[in-house]
Amino acid sequence: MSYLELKNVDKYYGDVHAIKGVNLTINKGEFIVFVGPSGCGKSTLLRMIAGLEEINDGDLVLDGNEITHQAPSKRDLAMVFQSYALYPHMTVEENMSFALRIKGEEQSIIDQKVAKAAETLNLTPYLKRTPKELSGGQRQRVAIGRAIVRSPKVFLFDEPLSNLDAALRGQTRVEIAELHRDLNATSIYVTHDQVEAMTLADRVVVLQGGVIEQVGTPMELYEAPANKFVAQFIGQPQMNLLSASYFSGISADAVDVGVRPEHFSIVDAGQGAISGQVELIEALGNETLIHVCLEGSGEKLIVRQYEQPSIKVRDSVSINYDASHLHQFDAKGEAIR
Amino acid sequence: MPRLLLSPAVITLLIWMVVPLALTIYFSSIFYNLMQPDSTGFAGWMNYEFMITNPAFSDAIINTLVLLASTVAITVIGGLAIALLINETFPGRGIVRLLLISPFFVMPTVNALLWKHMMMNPIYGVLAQVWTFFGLTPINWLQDLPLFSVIIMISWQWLPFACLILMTSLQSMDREQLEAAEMDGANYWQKFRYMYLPHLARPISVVIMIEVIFLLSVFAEIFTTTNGGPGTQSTNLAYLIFNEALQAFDIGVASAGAVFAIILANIVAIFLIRIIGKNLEK
Ligand SMILES: Nc1ncnc2c1ncn2[C@@H]1O[C@H](COP(=O)(O)OP(=O)(O)O)[C@@H](O)[C@H]1O
Ligand SMILES: [Mg+2]
Repeated sequence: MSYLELKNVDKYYGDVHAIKGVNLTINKGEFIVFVGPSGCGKSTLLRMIAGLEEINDGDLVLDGNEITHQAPSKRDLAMVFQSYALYPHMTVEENMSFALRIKGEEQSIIDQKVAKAAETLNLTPYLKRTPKELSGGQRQRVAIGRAIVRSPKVFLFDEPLSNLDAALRGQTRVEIAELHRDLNATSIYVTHDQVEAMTLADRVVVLQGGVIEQVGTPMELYEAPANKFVAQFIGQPQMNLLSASYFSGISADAVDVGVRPEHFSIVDAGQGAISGQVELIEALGNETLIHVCLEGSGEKLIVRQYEQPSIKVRDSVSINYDASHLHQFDAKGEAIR
Repeated sequence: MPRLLLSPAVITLLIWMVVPLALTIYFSSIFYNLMQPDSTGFAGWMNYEFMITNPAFSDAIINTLVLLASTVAITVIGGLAIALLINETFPGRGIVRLLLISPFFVMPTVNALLWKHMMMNPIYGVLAQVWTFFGLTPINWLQDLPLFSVIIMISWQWLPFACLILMTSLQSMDREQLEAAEMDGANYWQKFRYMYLPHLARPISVVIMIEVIFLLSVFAEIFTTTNGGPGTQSTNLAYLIFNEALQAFDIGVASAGAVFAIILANIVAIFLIRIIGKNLEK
């Protein structure tokens, strides 16, 4: 049951083809995250859905209605901007009630909705303040409150956490997840941070250069990336990519093979398929990352292990891989299944 | 010590203000007519009485205020409209802006002469040509609508100023705020009312303040076009004082008029600060 559907949408900025024929179907109540490197077109795609950027080609359908060229004010979507875009001369209460007031909603209903949203977001004590009298986190919540009060068809978020410090970002991320669970509202969330993408999303859309690389649940992306780009974009540290010659029993088309750091293990000398020299050991407490430079080719890889290592830098080591967790890629970089 | 260091500036300013003020008040209290050098001595309130009972006086005050209010209204509303209009990007915007600003660089006398001869002359003026083209009788602007004509000239000169200030502050308007308002369902008028107008409150106050300071003492435009006439129809306080001092050569009465001008300026200033001063404190 599709609620919001993008059919082959295109966006040009002059000669720049920013969005290249994107198809996407979003279901009601889903939390979709657009993720990708900076400049890949995440914001552009979101703003096209919002109506803030013109759609040059293709169709946009919301809840059965074609809205490709409808004005943003008619689409019944709410957006939380990266800069929050609060109205500086209005109080928190006025900010949150603005949309309802200009729609001519009854005052008692407005008061009730604002009070409820403020309650949910812990903003009740600040209703009479103006945005400049609030902290960053509070402003961010007002921006969310402004969206909630309207009960829109879809919530749009453009990197809402990027202006917060690390601690607050983690906390707010959890709050947004809880909010989505409570409201069960269809949401599209843009971020370049894969942790946000993995923790919040029902489905993640990975974008690069204006095209969708893969759509799937966070676990699908992690366990079965469709191509080299997704494989390396999702996961920290990155998936190791080695030439196929190190591996046996793989497809003849495979050019590169990807192995996540946790699927390598250090074994006794001569026991492993791959051997190399330890370059760096990063002990992070709960886990240890061992950087190894391979003999001969000089390729590098990272091994993740959860026990304290007994090896030292410049030791020669032998490495084994978990054959059930190999990701094979052909010459074009597409995954071979 | 800081006061000592400040004192040269403060003392200079004080002298600058106090000496002319004291002299004006002194002259307004003595008989001082250049044509009657023999009548001298303390005049008491005579000069003030002379000024107030002069039938031109009340006309001059009303004209001063009408001129002030109309010009401020026209320039602020017009400047706002133009600034909003050219805030959108379009080809040739740079040139349009430059042309819009240029009247401000024209000297007041030149401006007045331009309007008097080129635009408003009832025989060969541009406006007369337009009127004839539409089959209407050309208006003798400076004769029939003298004060209105002066208001047009001064508005033409000050419109660019208002426009320039409002235009620059429109550029600092946050685009995402407007987009947020748009997503909230605001139409153009609601965006104007709830976004642009509050954002422009301070620059509008600045424009009004500065214009009021300059427009209370308009002189050159009146002197070069209507000479305050016909009758007193376009005489403002500044022109009346000039008339007393350099047409009737009565320095005493002119000084009394100047004192009234100071009082009027203060009344206007108090109103201004009450009404718009709070916008400037933010
Ligand atoms: N207003 C614009 N004019 C021209 N090019 C733009 C404009 N906005 C974005 N772009 C280009 O479109 C691409 C996608 O931008 P954007 O959607 O902002 O990326 P992201 O949000 O993923 O970082 C970028 O290459 C950017 O340079
Ligand atoms: Mg962006």
